[in-house]
Amino acid sequence: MLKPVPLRLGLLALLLVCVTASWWTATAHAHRLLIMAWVQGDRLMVETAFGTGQIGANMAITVQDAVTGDVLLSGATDAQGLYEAALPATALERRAPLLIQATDGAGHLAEQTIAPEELPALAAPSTASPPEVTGLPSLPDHPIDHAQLSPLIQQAIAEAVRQEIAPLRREILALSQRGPGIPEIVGGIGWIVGLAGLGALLLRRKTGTNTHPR
Amino acid sequence: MHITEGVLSAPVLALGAAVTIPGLWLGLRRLDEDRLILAAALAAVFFIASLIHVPLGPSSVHLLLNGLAGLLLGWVAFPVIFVGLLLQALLFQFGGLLVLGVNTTSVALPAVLCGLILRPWLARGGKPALCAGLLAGAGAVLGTALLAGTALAMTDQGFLTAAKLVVLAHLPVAAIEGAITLFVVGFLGQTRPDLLTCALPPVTEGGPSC
Repeated sequence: MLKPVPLRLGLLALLLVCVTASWWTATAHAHRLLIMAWVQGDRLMVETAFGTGQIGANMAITVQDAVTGDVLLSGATDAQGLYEAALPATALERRAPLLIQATDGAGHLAEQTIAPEELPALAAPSTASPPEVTGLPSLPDHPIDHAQLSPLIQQAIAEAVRQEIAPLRREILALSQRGPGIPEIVGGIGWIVGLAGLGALLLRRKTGTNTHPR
Repeated sequence: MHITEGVLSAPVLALGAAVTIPGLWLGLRRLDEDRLILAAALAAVFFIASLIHVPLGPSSVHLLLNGLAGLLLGWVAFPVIFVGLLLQALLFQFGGLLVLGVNTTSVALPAVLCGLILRPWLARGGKPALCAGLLAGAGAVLGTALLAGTALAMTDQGFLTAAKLVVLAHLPVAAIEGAITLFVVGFLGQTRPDLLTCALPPVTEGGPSC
């Protein structure tokens, strides 16, 4: 029998720590981390969440050139699990796929690659984010210049569409967060039963050959 | 505790695999027909336990129940937990195949150690058995958190604070698991005491294992 007193005292201390620990307000994210990244205009948007639906706040985000591995951007998500940054000109010039990684530093990592086709064309930054909408109401007072107006309208529409589909993006993220369902659970138990059956068969053969050697 | 694919460095992954393989071999050698059904049942319990979320503060934690497997099965807990983690990785996308070695080691090794240390108490029945259940449930979870935190810290010094967080976050889980394992052992002691004494290794080689 194993009776070392220090061992038992150590285990007792461990127990005390455990019992008092329930008042500690620590969190565990022992779940899958999910990431959704997209390009909006000339900005990169990243949203993170955990498989349980919990918002992935304060996740470290790194954006890399997927080909060379150069780190282009790094930061952290805000309390809403969102990260937003202007795409650096180097990323637009290279037109390489972007690898976006999110990690909580505690063993969870999610990544997504953005294809170069999704990146906006390298344009002068002034056309990417001009204060265009404020100029619109005064337009009827002036002769309408179609060449000037059409980019403004395009931009306004693009912005409106983005805002309209924002809930859809969240919906898609929420759908992809679905945890394992009944089929997976039943399937897993089925596998265990099957493995146990296989083990029983092998053991029976082993004992059979042991007791009746041929 | 599931460390995700791509977080750990290659030497840590190799170390995890290097510990897991002998553990599996030892466990499979000790797996006999009498324990096979119990092992399968505990594998199913472990497989499902990760889906049971306990709301805790702003977040929720999930159960491990590795202490129970270690207490009742000893080294056999190694293959049991390996199978559970493998199926969780394949079906739930918890963890991953490359980190399976590290995850198996961090979950199974503390469970087996707790089981080996506490099984003499378990066989005595009564209050010592209940104590063994409580300590095994709590100790195995804390050991798992420590090992997972160590794996993270060994990969990157920057993970050290995260590793501490992992351990702190698992303290409440340890308390919950200790209580659950205590109740399971108490229940088994009343209904199937043979399962508790069966957990003792056979006194002599070739003697009755149960």
